[in-house]
Amino acid sequence: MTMNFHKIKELICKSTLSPQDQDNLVVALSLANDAELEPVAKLFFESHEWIEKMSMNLKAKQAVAVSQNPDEWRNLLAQEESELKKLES
Amino acid sequence: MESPVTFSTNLLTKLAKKIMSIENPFSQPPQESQQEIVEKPKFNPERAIDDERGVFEKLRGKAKDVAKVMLLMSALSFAPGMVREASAGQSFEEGATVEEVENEQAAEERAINFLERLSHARAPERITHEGQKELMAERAAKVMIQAFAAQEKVLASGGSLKEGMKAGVSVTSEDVQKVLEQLNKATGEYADRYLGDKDGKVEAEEGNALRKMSTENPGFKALMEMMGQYR
Repeated sequence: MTMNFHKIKELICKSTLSPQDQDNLVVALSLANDAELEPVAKLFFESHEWIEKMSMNLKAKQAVAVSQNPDEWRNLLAQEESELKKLES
Repeated sequence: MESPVTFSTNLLTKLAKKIMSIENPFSQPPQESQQEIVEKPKFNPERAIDDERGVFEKLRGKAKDVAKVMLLMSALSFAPGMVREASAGQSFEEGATVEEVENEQAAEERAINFLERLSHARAPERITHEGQKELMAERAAKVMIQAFAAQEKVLASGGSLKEGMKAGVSVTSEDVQKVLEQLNKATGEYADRYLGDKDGKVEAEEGNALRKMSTENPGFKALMEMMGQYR
């Protein structure tokens, strides 16, 4: 069953993301299966803000995948770590 | 006496410059740029995901939940083949393409809608005897399942449903078995959607709901009977 994907897709379509960003996120998530999407569904249901944050995170990572620049990746990783540490405190 | 061929200095200089400008294909690239290529670290997606996992493993609570999703985003961006590995600790099936996911969703939706129709299978009005009424309703359900198998066969072949059904479709036992598997997969979702959650309160456990359906509803009784036959 692909229930999580179905629910996530609905949430993304209702979000404030541009149609292009919505497509980008939906297409990327379609590569994951239902069990892998469980934590995504949980987070996206919690708040629409997470949809925007994860869309930005995905786009930044896609940019690294294109540039193949290790420095860019290190910066992104450091940024992620500091954002996550804020959530911990 | 023949006079020796003479070149003006100007012409010789021009020729020398021309020869010097032709690149020697056997010459080695300058040492400096070679060094540059060797020293520049390459981006390794697998290593990147490992590094990210290493950082995230130290996190706790909400941060860990968010980190899991971020890790999935990395796997989806850098190496879709690593999605499974990135979400370690769970067992996963193979991933699917957008088209496969959408086809699967559409097939599941059709199966759920069909189950809803099947739950209303009934005998013709003229039959009044209770026992006969039930038998006829079950027979109607079996005919509906055969028709659903024909519909799915046409759709799977990529043909037009309208034309295919008009031309007539021969349904084999294999086709029926396939559609029964499809319906079997959809029963869980059907039970959740139509029976499980009423007024925000879970009314019945999925298994119990299905058992109730298969014993009390003639449409589902016929479906269960066919599933038994084709097992």
